[in-house]
Amino acid sequence: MEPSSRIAKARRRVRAARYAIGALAVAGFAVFGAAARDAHPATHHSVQAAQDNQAAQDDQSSDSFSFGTPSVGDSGSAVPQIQSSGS
Amino acid sequence: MTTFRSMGCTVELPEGADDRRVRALFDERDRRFSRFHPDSELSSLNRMPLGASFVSEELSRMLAHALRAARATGGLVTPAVGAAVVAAGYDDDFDRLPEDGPPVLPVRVPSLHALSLRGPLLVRAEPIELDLNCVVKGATVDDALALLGGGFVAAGGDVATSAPLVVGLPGGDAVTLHGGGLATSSVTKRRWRRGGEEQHHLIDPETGAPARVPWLDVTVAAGSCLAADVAAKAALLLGAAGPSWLDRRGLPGRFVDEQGDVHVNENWRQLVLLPLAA
Repeated sequence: MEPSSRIAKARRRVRAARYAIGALAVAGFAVFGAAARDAHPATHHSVQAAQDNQAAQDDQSSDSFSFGTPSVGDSGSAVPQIQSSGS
Repeated sequence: MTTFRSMGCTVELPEGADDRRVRALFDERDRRFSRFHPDSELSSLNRMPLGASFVSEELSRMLAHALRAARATGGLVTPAVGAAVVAAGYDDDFDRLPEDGPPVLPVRVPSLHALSLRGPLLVRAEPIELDLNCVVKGATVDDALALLGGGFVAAGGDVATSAPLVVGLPGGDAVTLHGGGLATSSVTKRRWRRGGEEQHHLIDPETGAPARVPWLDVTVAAGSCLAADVAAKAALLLGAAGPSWLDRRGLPGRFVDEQGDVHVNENWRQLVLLPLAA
């Protein structure tokens, strides 16, 4: 009887493993779906830029991108050390 | 001065600077964000331009820069111009572009409404080919300066410095950049022909074609090289409205028009010209 008992135990382990894999797959799919839904433009508005309205070029609400404080002045007659020739 | 080539331009560092880590940074960014390397992460992303995709931390960070820049410029400087740039003929390393080709058929630039980023998850609700040219070089110059721990880094006209640096400008003038960044956006450098007409790489999102603007070069100083580069591109694309757009953001801008005449905005006048006259 011992061999059949071992077989029965093995079958139970296989069954349990299958359930676990199935549950993990369902959970993974649900997490991915929720993340995709959260990131989808239709449900997430923080990235919605004002592109559709060029008047928004004057929108000062661009607080998440800092242009910072420029620090530039006259060069006197010094010879340029490098050239900003455009890109 | 220490120099090397990367990202299609010459990178300049102070004489004697340890360039190995900086060079590795530029080369790694070039491999990851180039539209022209078929095995780059950006190229892989553009081969499947619709739906949800997981991206690397580096790409997520650069996309976040690009989306913030797009919001700050009302969508003028946008990463959604990939298809339009290719349609304009810029579909290979500039050095390999043919001199001429078929006429450009403008491509609609997708709205940013269709683009969303949450950490590593990018969702495109309509096909969007991305072009991160708007932020990669500027951000890399800033990051390279941080790697060096000081001094300056310049790459193809974009500069970041932590100490006073005299920078030559298009047309022959010069300024002293005491810190932060300075960038020149230009339609004179990367030009090619399609249908017998001159093209360049700066796309007007309204038309989906290379912008037709009165400026050849726009130079802007800002708190960082990335900020200066984004502002210079926006000011160039805005045409006649560019100088006042920069003024409202407290940024000095210098504009060279098609006749070669130099124009400056009020902030440039205050910071650069008036101290000179005093």
